[in-house]
Amino acid sequence: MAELAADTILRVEGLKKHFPVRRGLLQRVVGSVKAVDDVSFSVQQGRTLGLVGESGCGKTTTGRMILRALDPTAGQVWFRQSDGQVVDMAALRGAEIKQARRDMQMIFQDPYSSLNPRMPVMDLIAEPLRARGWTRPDCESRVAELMDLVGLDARMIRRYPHAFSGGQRQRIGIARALALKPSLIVADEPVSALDVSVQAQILNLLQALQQDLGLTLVFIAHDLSVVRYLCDQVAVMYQGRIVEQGESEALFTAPRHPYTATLLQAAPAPDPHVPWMQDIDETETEAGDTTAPVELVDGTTAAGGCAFVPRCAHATDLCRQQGPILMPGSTRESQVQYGAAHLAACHHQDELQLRGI
Amino acid sequence: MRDPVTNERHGAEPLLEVLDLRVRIERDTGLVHPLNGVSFRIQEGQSVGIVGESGCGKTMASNALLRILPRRAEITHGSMQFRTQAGDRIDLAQLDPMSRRMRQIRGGEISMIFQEPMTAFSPVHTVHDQIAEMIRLHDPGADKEEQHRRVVELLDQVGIPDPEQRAFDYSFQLSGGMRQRAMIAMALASGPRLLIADEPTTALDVTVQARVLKLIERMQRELNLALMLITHDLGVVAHMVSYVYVMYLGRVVEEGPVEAIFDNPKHPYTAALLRSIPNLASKSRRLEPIEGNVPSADRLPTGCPFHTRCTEKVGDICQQRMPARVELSVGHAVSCFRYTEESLDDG
Repeated sequence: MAELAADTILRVEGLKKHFPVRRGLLQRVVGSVKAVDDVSFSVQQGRTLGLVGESGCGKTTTGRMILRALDPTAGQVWFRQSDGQVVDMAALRGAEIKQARRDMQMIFQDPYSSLNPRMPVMDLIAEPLRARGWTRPDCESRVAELMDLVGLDARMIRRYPHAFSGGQRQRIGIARALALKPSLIVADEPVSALDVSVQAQILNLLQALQQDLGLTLVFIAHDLSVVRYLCDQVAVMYQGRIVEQGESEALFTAPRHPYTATLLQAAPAPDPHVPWMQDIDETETEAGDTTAPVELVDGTTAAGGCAFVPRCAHATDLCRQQGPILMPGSTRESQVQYGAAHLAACHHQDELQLRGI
Repeated sequence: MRDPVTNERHGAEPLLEVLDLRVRIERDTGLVHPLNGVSFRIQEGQSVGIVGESGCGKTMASNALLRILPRRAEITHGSMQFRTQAGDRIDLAQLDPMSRRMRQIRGGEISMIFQEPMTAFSPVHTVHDQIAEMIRLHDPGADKEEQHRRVVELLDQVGIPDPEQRAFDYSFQLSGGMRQRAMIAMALASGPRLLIADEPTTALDVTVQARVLKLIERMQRELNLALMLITHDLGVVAHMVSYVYVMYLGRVVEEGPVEAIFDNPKHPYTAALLRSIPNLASKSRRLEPIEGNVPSADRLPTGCPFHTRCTEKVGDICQQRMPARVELSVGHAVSCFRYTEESLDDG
């Protein structure tokens, strides 16, 4: 039943998460928010997938469902465990989840709130080991080894989080995630809370660890320059759906979805000579949120068509009537030029001339 | 448009001139020195960027300017000469923070937009009431009708659609980008001459950020506002200002026209910072992190504040003495022993 290509470690299939919206005194369910709506992708062993998009696009929800920190509404998360067995994270129960999670770990955005301030580094990093029944001496030597691996001074093992800077705390978070030798790491905005000069340290550390340990990384971020630096493949999300997906280089240099092009142009380059948003009409306001709209039970707001229409400069009647499917270009030229692995959910992907970077 | 005039060449007196500003905070654990002799100036209508990482004192500098420092903080040294609308020069450092004069300047001639607009607005008053209040405070002559007209005009100016209706919303009913626009409208309500924007778009998504920054740029141009943009984001600063001050641990380490700072950074910190950030436009380049961490402001290193992380130290002098400011070309100055006479004698 579990079909997973030999080189693939993770395949997400039709993943959905709908949150109920309750109103009124009786808290009746009046609708739902499709935070993640039919998301599919796969990641090969040892590679890095970037999940990008603006706040509310569903990237974090997707990441949490992969680890089953959230229960999906529908869909499958096929994952190859280190023993070779392929499991569907979405269908596992209790002890099985715990078993599978041994091989997948998460790194969080905020190194200040994700570490218990009352635990010394030793206990923080050893916690997952303890949960698996490691003895104290074993833990201690493993923690020292991990601290060394992530560039922390192992003599600091008895110190508490407050004694560490933001970057060092993030290293503790990474050491903790690596404690059980996972094969997959989901990193949710791991550098966005850090100082500019420290971000590069953590990015380089993640890259080195990935290469040395053969880790597979799902990297959730909003900063495209960081994603470009670290990721082999990218999936761009908008209102709970993937709107474009492909090899990082191809996606950045030749975007196929207008939203991707918008994101690329909006990011100001740290170079005053690179033109930036010269033709933008700033009075054009924030039409259409990146957050998925509430869909009422009676279906009144269930609009057909592409979700990006309110912000799209290329929208036509077709876009307003019919939702596009995530697929490769259909003309011969675009297939030759872009290949079958570059997908976009846009009716006009073959005609548009979008500017990359 | 960027104005090419450097700070130095401008003939007129600056709108604001801060000289050797020092601030000290008393903590239970001891004294903290967030500002250790900061000097900068802003000309009328000029856009100036103050760049640095957390703890460099950039926010403290703007708070000192507006005299809204935390309770146990005090200005121990320095001056902040501000040229008022009426044309007289006053030293903001000498004013009583609670005085009538200071209140007229704060939120009046100098106004501010913050990173988190949620905290700038009261949740129990409508956007209209709060902007009208600003107008009333700075123009007591305006009657209700006039106030309303100006509120709607301001909201329209900052690109809020349907301003007649939206004016009566509460701040929490607006989206992040709209709220930021409303805050800009509120900051402009008093007819300021200097706008301080402290990380104005850090909490916003990149597409919203772009529009809000363009709005600030347009307002600055149309109203001939001076802009003091405080940010850690080198991408934002590259496109928004004509002149940049780079701060590290409560000191300005380098200053210059924006092109000079990005094309030809002289201070090892500025250069290292630029090498450490990923650039969307260039993939292959490997990031070179700055090793170590920013030292805490309660344990300031001796000598040059950057010497603990600097890879280009000239010698022991770096940890013994503070380098003087050296002007390398018109308007481009740096504080580093690599460029001073002393180090030449020394080595």
